[in-house]
Amino acid sequence: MKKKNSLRAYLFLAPFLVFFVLATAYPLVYGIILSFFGQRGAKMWFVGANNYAAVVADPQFWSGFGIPAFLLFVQIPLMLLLGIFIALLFERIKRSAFYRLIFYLPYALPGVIAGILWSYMFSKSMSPFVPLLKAMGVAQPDFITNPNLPWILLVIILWEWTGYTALVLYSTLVSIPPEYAEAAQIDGATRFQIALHIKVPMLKNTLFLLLIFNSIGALQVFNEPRMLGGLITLPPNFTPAMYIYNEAFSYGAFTFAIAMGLVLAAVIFVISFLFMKGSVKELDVHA
Amino acid sequence: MKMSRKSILTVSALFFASVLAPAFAAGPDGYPAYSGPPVELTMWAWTSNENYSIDLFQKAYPSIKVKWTNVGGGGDEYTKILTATSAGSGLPDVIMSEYTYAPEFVQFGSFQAINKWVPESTYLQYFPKVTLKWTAQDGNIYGTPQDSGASTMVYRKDVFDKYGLTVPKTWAEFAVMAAKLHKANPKIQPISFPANWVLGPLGLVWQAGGKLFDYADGKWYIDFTNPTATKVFTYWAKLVKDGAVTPDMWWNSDWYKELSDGGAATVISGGWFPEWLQLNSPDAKGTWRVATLPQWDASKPMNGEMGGSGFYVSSQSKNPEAAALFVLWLNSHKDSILQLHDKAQLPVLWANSFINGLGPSLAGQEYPYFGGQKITPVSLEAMNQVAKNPQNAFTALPVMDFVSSSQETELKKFLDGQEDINAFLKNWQDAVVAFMAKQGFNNVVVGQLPK
Repeated sequence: MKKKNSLRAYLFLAPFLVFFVLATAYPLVYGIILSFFGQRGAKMWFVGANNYAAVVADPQFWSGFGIPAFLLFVQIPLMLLLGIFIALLFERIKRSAFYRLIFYLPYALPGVIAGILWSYMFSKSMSPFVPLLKAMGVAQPDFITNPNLPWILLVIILWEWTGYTALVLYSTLVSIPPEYAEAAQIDGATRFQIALHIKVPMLKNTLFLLLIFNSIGALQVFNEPRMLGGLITLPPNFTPAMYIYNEAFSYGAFTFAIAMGLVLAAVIFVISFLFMKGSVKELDVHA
Repeated sequence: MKMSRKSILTVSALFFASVLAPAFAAGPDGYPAYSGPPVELTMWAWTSNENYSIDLFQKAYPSIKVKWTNVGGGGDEYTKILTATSAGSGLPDVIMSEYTYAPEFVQFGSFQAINKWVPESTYLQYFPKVTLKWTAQDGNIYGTPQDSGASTMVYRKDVFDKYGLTVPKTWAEFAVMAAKLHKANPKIQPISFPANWVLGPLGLVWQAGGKLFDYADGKWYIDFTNPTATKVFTYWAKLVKDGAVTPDMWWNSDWYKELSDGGAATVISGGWFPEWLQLNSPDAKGTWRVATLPQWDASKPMNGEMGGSGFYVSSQSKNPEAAALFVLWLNSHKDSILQLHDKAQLPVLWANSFINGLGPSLAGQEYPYFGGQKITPVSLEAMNQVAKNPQNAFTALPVMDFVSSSQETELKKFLDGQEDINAFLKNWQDAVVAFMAKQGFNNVVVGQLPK
């Protein structure tokens, strides 16, 4: 009986498994194999772990982690705070569907289109902020300068992801039984106290999940800086993902790029693992 | 039915003619004949309206068909070339590439030699010798040159008139013009100098009779700090330091706007640029004019190229003969050249049939976009300034993407005041040399150029 059940389970899983094997497992294994080869054009030769040794010793690769670190420690906490705030507002407003849609929209926009849109926002001559800043007495606004870059990325990523984050948190909020808040209210708690001491703690699991996903996103950040590369000179190793892309598609060093990609994946795994380990005690695990 | 002796002779003659003809007949208009089976070639190219020439080619060579795809311009296509070459499949038979990127694809194994079908003697019937610097390496010919990137200077006549400026004939005059305009109206750039387009400065060094690198006898030569290069970069560094020139990021919306609204008084770019400007900045109609470049020594006019592209036969082509005949015919036959000029909008082309035929015949053609100016003689003169100084032409390094990105990075450091122009050249060269080593090139000579 048990065997029959598991067979049925695999049957239902088959569509996913087929895609998983084709699109994830096979490329991963193939990539691991290729990473042990040197390559120039169609010529390949075995080099053992040389590519990995080169990645680990490559200061260019590691210096690319500055931007992900900034996003990890500044942008993500800021976005989670904003997300909680907006989610609580969604919950308070009657018929919040309209606002939820508006806040969600940037997330629905393809990254490339968002990139074009923001390149106009930060354009020296065409930005809608230019007349505003000129009215405030700034003669020649220049948004995109090297020191501003992390903050520009922060603005774009917040714009893209905060609405989505708020929506996910909101869906958790509405699933909290109202009895808790009612009981607290009867005990004399203010709305603020209820939000801070009852609701936010119950968002913990969701927040943790968002933290993991966003950390992965931060370490892989690529679209936004690539778009900015047309407006200001960025080093090829501005972020690890950009460095990997350039090594592969600008210079044709595909197997070296694969090794870098796998090292980046390992870094992401370790960071995710540390987060999990650090937080697992705090979580309600309904297993 | 009884056949007469005459008819038997005729029939047998026709039979032999039909069997043997392909082996003996010359191709169309003296071009080599095609001896292989009917084929369909595939081609990647980003020029517009290449199909007019293709149609004519298919009439001239009925057993060769050509399927053309535009997979994106410049870098977009190059990433696909690198990927398909590495994968071992996916390249078309014929690939368009800028001359400066072709050596990289030769080294990467993306092209194959076509000497068997287009030997040097045939090639030289149709193209000037100087072009072999961009289509051949070590005696192997990989393709044929299409348009010329011979540099010209476009300038805003309205701006020049308003501020009483004269079109500079020398670089000394250019510096005076730049200072005068900057003083009169600091909001107008005397020139839009590219911060992110390495072919610009490379062409300016070439125009001064210099180069930063070259290839000869199986070795790559690199010398960024040679006197001519230093002279040219120092000249521009001074204009930047004086505040007259602020290098621009090219190819983005701010830049397009600057070209349209008179934010820049001049642009120096390749021979294809006037047409490009016309297409991308239609609002500025009537304001721009074309001139040859200011000279270092007006008595010895010289010029360099910025861009320009050739068509090469890919290493994965199963029909290299057909592909070789196609690239030869496409870029040299007078009928094709006419289409490429008129329909594909290439102002000047490297074919002999253009330089000695079509080009001069277009001298009287007026361009409404340029206020009715007859621009072809200017472009032709610019091209002849390149052709007459073949010693200045060079083969680009096989790592041009890195040459470009490292130049951009180092130039930014210079502009941010972190290094002077000599340090810029030195650091840029060091970065390129290190990258060549990383890529496995062990035939690099640093600090000198070929004799």
